[in-house]
Parts: sequence; structure tokens; C-alpha cells
Amino acid sequence: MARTHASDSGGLLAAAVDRWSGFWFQPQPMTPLGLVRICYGLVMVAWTSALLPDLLAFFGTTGIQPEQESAPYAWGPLQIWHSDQAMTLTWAVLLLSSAALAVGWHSRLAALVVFVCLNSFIRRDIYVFNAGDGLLRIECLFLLLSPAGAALSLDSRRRRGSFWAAQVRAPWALRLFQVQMSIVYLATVREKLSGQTWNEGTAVSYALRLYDVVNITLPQWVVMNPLLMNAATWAALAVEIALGVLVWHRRLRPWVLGAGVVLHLSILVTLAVGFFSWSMFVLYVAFVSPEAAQRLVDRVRRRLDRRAEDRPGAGTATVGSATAEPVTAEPATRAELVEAPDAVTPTG
Amino acid sequence: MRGVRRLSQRLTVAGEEVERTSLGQGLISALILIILITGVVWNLPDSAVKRQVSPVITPIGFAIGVGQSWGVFAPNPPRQQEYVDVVVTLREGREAVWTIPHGDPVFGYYVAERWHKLKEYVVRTQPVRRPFARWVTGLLAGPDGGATRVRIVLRTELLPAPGSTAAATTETTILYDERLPRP
Repeated sequence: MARTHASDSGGLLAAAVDRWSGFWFQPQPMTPLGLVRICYGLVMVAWTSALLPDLLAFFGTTGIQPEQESAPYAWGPLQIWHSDQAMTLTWAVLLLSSAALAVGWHSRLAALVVFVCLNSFIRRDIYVFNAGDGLLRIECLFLLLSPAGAALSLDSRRRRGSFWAAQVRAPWALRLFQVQMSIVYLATVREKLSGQTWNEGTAVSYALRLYDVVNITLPQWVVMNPLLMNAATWAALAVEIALGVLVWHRRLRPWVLGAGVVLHLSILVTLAVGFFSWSMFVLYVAFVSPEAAQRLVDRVRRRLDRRAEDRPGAGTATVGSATAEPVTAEPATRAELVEAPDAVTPTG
Repeated sequence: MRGVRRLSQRLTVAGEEVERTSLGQGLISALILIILITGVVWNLPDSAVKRQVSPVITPIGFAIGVGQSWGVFAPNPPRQQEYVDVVVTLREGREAVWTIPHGDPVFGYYVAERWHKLKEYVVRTQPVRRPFARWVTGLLAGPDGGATRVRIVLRTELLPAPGSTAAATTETTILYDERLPRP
């Protein structure tokens, strides 16, 4: 009896280890990771650009916060190097490294530089950043840990001869993005349910009447209508719960993510919450399946090829713009290579 | 540049190899657990588990930036409007008023969001008020100190509950008041 019990628990443990291993380490094409990296890089280019108008007002030597407040573990170059020139240089480096990350040029190094610069700004003046900025920092850490240039990157082009190539790798870093999304939604729902207005169904009404957060002022008969506001508040909660839990159900995933996109687009249109919605969309992209990501890449590629063929003077290439790429610039690594169906055909 | 490329190539190959071995997967699993436990515990309500684990995860969360809380409009969105004005009395007796910028609804709000966040801290925390007031003074009176007094004024307007016909009640509070020395 005792032996059966021991073998049962041994079997359960082995099954758990197998499931863990399958979830985090079962190799898959890195096309979704490539999409995540591109989206993140573009969001960071916009984020950095938005910082420029008030850079010296917030961080300069004659600004609101001339020096970083001392806090434990709050490392960062701007803590010790806080001249206006340092600030401007860090900003420029952040902009360039974000662009490098978007196109996948030395992706890992670019992710490291973005992480250090982003962290430096967030820690330099904690009074001007919100939860969305914190999420961008977490996402950057995940990219830094991941083989960020393994697909849809100039790194791929240099190593394997095609920007569109995707390595097959363990998806553990991509999974971190996915789990992070559940943590965000479940944590926010838990926090909201501990308050009065979300339970009463009035929270959305208050949020839509905050003059400095509102983008579009909705009519009073909408924001003061108890029934409409009940429906909006509880629908938002329901979508957030679904995004935290049901997104793991393969068949429900597209519907749940679709509802999330609608929720965040509504927030983007009506409320000014900085880059929060955009940073959430980066997490959504991590849920795109490798097959769907590849279909999307193929479609974009075909469109680019068609455009290149239509250009006057084009005609030496057989499959458009991609044919100009060198096939192998450096020896390929041992990882398997996934190419789009209409693979590169050099014409010499 | 070639050195960077070679290093990056070697790291990529090493990363692939580590992912394939049991030892490598074990190490990565440990890293995953550290990141996830930090994120989850950070978001737990005040509890015995959180108090027990916090001393270990707090340094990790702060150091690598995975400490996180998701209280966006939670537990409640603000139930009052808050208007912050900075009133600077200039040497000739005139008063100049500075208000928090409110950007255009398409691109400007990404910039204005930072000012909105700063306003929240000015309303709720003491330490940022003085540097903020001094910065606005410099902006309105110039760097040679043409101001005699600076005040941060908070006007609040309580929002009625939806369905209510009650009028909004307003209140004015001085958050900060400093008489500036003559240069």
C-alpha cells in the first residue's frame, strides 16, 4: 500500500516535471518572439520620444528633481552621473538602442542598453512614471533574457541570410511574457475588488469624469447613468478576469484577447494613461501562435515583395526585395531554421 | 564591432546548448521561479506569507525591476477632481499662476501624463513639494530670483455618485507656502 502511494506520488512528480518542461522548454519557432521584440522596440521609440520635451524639466540639474533620491538597490548610471549632458546622452542612447531593438540589430546588446537606460530614467525621478513604465521595464528584462534576435531581425539576416528567418528554440522567455500578463490582470482584479466603487459598479463613472485623465469628455447622461456605468464597470472587471484566466484556454484565447484589445482601445481613446495600454499590447503579442505569426509574416513579406516588383527598375530579383540579402554571412548555429514558404532565391 | 559580433554569436550558441541540457533547464527553471515568485508575492495582500517572503524577494524585485503593483484605478479611482496651481508672487507684487500642462488628446497626452503623475505625488507626498515649487518659481520669475513668495494651491471638487443630482462640493487647500529670501 505504502509502495503504491510512493509510486503514485513519484508518477505525479514525473508528470509535473514533464508538464513543466513541455511548457517552458518544448522548442518552437521564435517568430512570435520576433514580433514581440519589434512591437516593444517601436513602443520604446515612442516612449523615449515623448520624454524629450520635458527631459531637462524632470531630470536636468535645474529641473524638479536635480538629483536622484537615495533608495536601496536603485542602481543606475544617472545616480552618479547627473549632468544635463549625461541626461541628454542617455536619452539619445535609449532612442537609438530602442530602434536597434525594433529592427533586431545586435538585439541582446540593444535590450541590455535599453534596460539600463530605462531603469536609470525610472529611478532618476520616481515621481513622473506610472505602472505602464514599470511594465515596459519588466518586458525589457524578459527580452534581455531571451534570444531576442532569433527571428525577424537584422541578426537573423547576418547569421542566416534572411531577415525573415526564425530559429526554433525553447520558448521560456516568451512564456514569461504570457505569465506576466496573467499576473497583471489577476493582481489588478484582486486590488479592485478590495475597493468600494468596483463592487458597486460606479468606478468607470468616476474615472471618466477626471478632467486631467480624460481624453474625450463623454456626455453627462452617459457618465452619470447608473445602469450604463454598472454595465461598463462590471464588464471591464469580467474582461480582466477572463484575460487573467481564460487566455490559457486555446479555443477561448482569440476571443479573450479580442475583448482585451477592445477594452484597451476604449481606454486609449477615453483616458490618458500614458503607455500602459501599449505595454499591455506587447504582452498580448506573446500569445500569438507560431503558425499565426508565420502567416502574418508571410503576408507582410508577400506585400513587400509585390511592392518591390512594382517599383520601376526592379526586375533582376525573382522574389523581390529579400533576394538582395546575402545567404550566409556567418556560420549558422546548430538551431533549426524555419523559413517562410517563399524562401529566398538568390539570382546572383 | 567584429568582437561584439563574435561574442554575441558565442553567447547565442551557448544559450542554445544550455537550454538543451537538464542542468541548464534546471538553472533556467530556478530563474523563472525567482521572477514569478517575486511578481506574485509583490501583489499579494498583506499576509503572513508576504511578510515571511518579502525580506528575500524585496531586494531582488528592486534590483532587477520585477517588483510590481497593478493598482491602476484600484482599489478605487479618485472620487474627486484635483486642480493644482502654483502661485508665485513676483517682486513688483504681481502674482503669476502656473498650472499643470494638459496635452492634446492624440500625442500630447503621452507627454502630459508625466505631469499628471507628478501632480498626484505633489498632492499626496511632502518631499516633492519644495523642489517642485522652487522649479516653478525659477520658470516664472527667472533665475535671478525675482519672486518673494511661492504657494502650491490644491482645489478639490468631490464628484457626486452616478445617478445623484447633488452639486459637487469644492474646497481649497494650501499645500505649500514659502516666503523667498531676497537675493
